[in-house]
Amino acid sequence: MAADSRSSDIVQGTLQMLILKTLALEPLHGYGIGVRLEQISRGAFRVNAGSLFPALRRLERDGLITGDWRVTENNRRAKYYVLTPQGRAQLKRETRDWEAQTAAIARILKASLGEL
Amino acid sequence: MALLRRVIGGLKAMFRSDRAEQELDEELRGYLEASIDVRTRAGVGREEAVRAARIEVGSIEAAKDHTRDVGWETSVENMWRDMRYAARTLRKSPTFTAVAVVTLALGIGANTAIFSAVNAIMLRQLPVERPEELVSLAAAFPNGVDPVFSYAAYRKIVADGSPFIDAAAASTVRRDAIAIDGPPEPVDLKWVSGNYFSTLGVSAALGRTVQTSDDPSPPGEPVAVLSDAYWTRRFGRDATVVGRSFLLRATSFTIVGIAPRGFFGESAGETVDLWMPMSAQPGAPSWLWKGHSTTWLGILARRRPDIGLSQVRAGLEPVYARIREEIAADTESPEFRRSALQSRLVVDEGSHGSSRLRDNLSAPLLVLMAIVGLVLVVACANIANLMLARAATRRRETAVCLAIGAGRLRLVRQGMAEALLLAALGALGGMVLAMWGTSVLTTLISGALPISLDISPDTRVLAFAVLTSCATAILFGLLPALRATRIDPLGALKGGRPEHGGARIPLGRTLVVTQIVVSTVLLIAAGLFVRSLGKLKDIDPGFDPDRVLIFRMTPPVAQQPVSVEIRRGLYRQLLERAESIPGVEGASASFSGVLSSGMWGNAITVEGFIPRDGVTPRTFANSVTPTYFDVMRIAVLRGRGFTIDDRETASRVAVVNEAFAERFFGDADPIGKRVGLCSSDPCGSLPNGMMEIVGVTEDAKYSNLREEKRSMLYVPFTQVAQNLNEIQVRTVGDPAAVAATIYRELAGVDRRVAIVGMMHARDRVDASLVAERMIAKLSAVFGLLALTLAGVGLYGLVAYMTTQRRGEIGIRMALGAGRRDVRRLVLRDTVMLVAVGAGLGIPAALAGARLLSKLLYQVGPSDPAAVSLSIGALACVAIVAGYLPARRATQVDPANALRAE
Repeated sequence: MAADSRSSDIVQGTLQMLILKTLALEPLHGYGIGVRLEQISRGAFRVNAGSLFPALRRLERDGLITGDWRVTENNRRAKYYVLTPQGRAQLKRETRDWEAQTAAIARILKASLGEL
Repeated sequence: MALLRRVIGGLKAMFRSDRAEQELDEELRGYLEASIDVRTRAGVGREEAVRAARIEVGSIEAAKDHTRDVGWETSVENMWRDMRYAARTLRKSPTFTAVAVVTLALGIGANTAIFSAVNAIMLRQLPVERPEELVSLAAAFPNGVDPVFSYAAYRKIVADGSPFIDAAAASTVRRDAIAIDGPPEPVDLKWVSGNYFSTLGVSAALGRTVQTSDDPSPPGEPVAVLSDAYWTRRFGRDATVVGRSFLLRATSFTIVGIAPRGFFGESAGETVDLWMPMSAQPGAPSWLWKGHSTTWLGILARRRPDIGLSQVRAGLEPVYARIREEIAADTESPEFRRSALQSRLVVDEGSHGSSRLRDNLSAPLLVLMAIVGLVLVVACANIANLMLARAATRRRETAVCLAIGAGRLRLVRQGMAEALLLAALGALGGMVLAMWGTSVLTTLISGALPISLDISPDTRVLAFAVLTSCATAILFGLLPALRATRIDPLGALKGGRPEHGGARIPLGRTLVVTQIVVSTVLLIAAGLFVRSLGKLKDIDPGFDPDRVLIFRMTPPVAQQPVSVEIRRGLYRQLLERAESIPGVEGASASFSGVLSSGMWGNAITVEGFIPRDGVTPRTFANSVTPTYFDVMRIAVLRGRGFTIDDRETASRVAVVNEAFAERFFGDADPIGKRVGLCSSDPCGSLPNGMMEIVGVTEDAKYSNLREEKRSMLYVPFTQVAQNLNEIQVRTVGDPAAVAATIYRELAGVDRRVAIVGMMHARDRVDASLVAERMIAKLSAVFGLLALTLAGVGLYGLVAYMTTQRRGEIGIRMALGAGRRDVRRLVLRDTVMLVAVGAGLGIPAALAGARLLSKLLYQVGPSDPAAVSLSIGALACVAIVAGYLPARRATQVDPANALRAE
């Protein structure tokens, strides 16, 4: 229960968006997604299985990604996740929203009295 | 789209749960292995890598659980699993389950039964079209509300109120006699306006209903509509009955139709056999149609579309203002004029129609509803305590679950599943009990009242039962479930016993104290009601109702008006016939019946009595046959009663009661004083002349048992013109043995008089106490039930606490404490709990009892007998509940107890 204290830093919706983004680059299996997220964020985000798999399940449920059993580079079977067209569209939408939001927040944080 | 996908995904997952489970397993295994691979490649030893990976991944089971929880179908699956688990655990402890289910069944059953009655009497809407559009009208006078109007007032409301409402009118149910090709037989009929059926939106099941053209200005069309029940009972649902005719008061009426099944009129609880247009009343005096001297029509109206209740109120205000003026102009009594001018029209929502039953039983039923609600609270507290005790014994199990990663929510849910299952079982038992309970209730309510009441459960009752059981499950399940999961798993697993009684005790104590508080309140309430009923039963009616049969009769009618002389002859014949029957001790007849609502009030003039405020004095009067005082056993205290010599031609005489004598003559002797009955108020002429008082009787109750002393003036039936409405027959032995014979004989005396009802006078007396008897009986039963439950709860808690303190008791005994000390130790606990409970309960009960004062008769809300009786009962239960564990505590073997520590 205590294991996901770090990943809880990632907002629920954000985690889904980040997974979509990593999968937009290439299909990956569960562990791969976790490693990739950690790599790209330079260690800022670490996702454990307890959060990752529910998120994957949810995305799969919603038809944004599909799973596909393949053989890994280490000759093991693993479920690789691929973005569906809906998933791609969703990612685009969420990225746009995210950018709009962060830009707005950034403006607020930078605001000084003179501008008002 | 997404929603649909989710639903389909969920259903798929439900049916392929095994495969999904395998895939998830494999995926997670892959994840773990990948994690190990990365570590071994980085040069970590295999074993070390596995350990590190395990720590990083965390509990695989928990991850699986979380992943599964993503879909909605898992909640269903979990619920099902929880239910199955709960069923298993309940089966493992049959005693607990049985006690809990029985307790709940009693609580839920009592609530459902009382609610069924509340539903039938207070909540059910009239079986008519769009009942929510109906409004009921009444006139509020300074000294009370009059639910009926005069014919003239009704006509005015119809004419001037038509932009706002369609007003229909109906008389109260009247007992009368009709002759259908044979001797007269009693029926309950109602005179209604021509638009009665169309306004209610009720159409005939057969033939037609009464219609507007039947009810023009009097005289109207002599037609009649039969109720479905009467059609079934009397004619066996024979369709050819439509078109046949019958005689009512020597007038021929034609049956034109049958009302639909289930339609009982606008007043729940009333039985109506026939509806007839009001203007067709045979022999109705002309003053019935003119002026406002007689009010006899209840008005139920339908709002016009788009007209709200407040608009109706505003719209009818000026209409009633004109009626008010007319009423005031119509009376000669200055008091009544003042009162009429202050009256106002009350317009209320009328979807439930009007009901005397509702007026009489609403308050008792609501009190009973509160009582059974409190009983259910006590029952829930008991079960909550049991659940807490179970949770305490399952501490280790709970701790293990928490330690291996079960969420607290999940465990609470499991606890709730158990509670819900218990509640469902309890509700099932409760429904069975409620069915039995409602039949008991119907008997209690209608046993002595001439009503028909359908208390059978409908969807609203079912919904009530379901909601109640869910509420109880939350009430007794949630707190223990929350408490049970709030433990430190490490401490519990180490085998540490909860320190001194553990977490259960404060909550358990609170629950038991609550039970005692509630039981105290219920016991005191029950005590008050029982005492009140006792006081009512002790009321001396002033006559002896045992072995007296009363028969109601219609006024003598024929094609021609029946003269006063012939009528008196008929009455004499009837009494002679009755007295000739073996087993009959005597027979009498009177204008006002025994405890009947049809009282005769009259303005009088009393010789030598000058009213201080100039207001004409009024008294109640009754016209009786000479045998009346003897048959009714009304003692004549001074002077004499009437004799057969008090004939039409003899000098005018009267007999008064003590209250009359005291009111008008004080200490002076009333015998020989003279009184006169006035023809109007204030006193105009004296049609009877002055009458000499020849006797004084003891006071009696005339219209109901609760009434204050009323002055009564008896006159011999030979010297006034009033009809006699009731025959009283005193029998030698059991009245039931001769009742049928008397009825048959009386009915056969003359076709012009019909016997329309027979009743035992004792039943008439009892009928006036129906509500009191019901509430006293039921509140006593429920009070004792609550007390028993509280006793069981108290015993359970004290017994548990004693077990928890075995070690302590052992040490005390080892150090030299005697049995008496130990007993005192345990009993002190019980006494404390009861004292706190009673200390809170008594003030609560006294505060609550003030709300009941309207339902109590000559019993104050803090009646010492009721309070001390309840405290006594509580103390007895407390002693038993406390003594048993205390005795067990003294049998503790100190050596054993200490070894166990």
